[in-house]
Amino acid sequence: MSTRRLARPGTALLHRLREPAPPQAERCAFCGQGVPPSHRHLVDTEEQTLTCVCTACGLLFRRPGAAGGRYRHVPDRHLAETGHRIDEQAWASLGIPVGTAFLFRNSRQDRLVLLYPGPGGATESEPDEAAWRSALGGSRLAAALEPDVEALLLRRTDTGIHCLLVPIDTCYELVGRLRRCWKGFDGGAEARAELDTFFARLAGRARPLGEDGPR
Amino acid sequence: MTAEQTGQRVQEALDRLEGLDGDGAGRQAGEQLARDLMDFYHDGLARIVAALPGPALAALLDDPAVAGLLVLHELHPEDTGARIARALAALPEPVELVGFDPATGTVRLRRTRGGCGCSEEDVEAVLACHAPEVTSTVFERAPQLLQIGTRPDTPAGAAR
Repeated sequence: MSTRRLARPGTALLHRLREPAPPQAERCAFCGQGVPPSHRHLVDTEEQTLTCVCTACGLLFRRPGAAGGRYRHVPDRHLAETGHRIDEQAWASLGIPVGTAFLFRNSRQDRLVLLYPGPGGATESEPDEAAWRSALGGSRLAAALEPDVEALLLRRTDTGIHCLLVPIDTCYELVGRLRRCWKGFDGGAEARAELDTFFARLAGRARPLGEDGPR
Repeated sequence: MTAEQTGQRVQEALDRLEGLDGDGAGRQAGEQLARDLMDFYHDGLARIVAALPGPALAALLDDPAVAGLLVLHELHPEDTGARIARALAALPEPVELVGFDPATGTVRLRRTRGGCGCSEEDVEAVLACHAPEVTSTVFERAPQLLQIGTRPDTPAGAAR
């Protein structure tokens, strides 16, 4: 009596292909090389999209005006500001209906863009430019913001309104993380825990304004 | 064509795609193509199976082409045990199911008659079609009659 093992590579392949595809290794959009999970991004200002880029190709786009200015390298700096705070009154004037939002300047359209994370991804809202100017008027962080590639990430908690200057891809990473765990109207406990973890990590990376090194 | 034969042809095509470029993008694209087509067919097939009257579907289950497709798409109405029984019933010679262990995928079988109607490969082929969960087979031999002689054929120690 013996055990006969049955090799059915064809059937096994078809069953494997019926499973959801494993996450694809991300590739540099310019040279096609595989990139590590911690790769950098460029903002395609024409398409308003983020593009994955390898270190070598990324360097080519760091010079201002490279590729006619269409692709802009996303910097790596995370900045916090100690002097300026947005108070509750100013927050109320901004008309942000949720606790977390990010704001960046679109250079092509020369306007501010305000986005909130939510269950369907990022929701865009028309910001009141005058209200923002007065709320951020004295903020050196807002003045340091690079258009298209950096955002002001705002979060309102029991301890006040926190504002960080972060790379724009960090904001979209947050949107993706929250989308996966969002439940109900306000996101639920899991989304709040995800937010806490994410902001704690960002706060750890953030340097006070004025101490940032080369980008 | 059975699921196994189809899968092997897809594998050969994927291997050729992989040979065309060095970085595996061709293979990934090929796999995606197969996934997308299977997903498309799956959605339609699921609706057809749901709409078919029970007897109409049951009448199709002995057809290896239909059974293989439904099993691949997890649309087959029967559990593994019933499908193993269905596979064995398709053989020209009675083969008895002793047991199936889902954890190891091993099926234990016994031939109830010492006939020569089908080979072990034939048994495995019908199992492959109807019950691909079976990954190994054990054939138990029916007890054989012993020849009782007055002495062993070979004297003890003669083999040395």
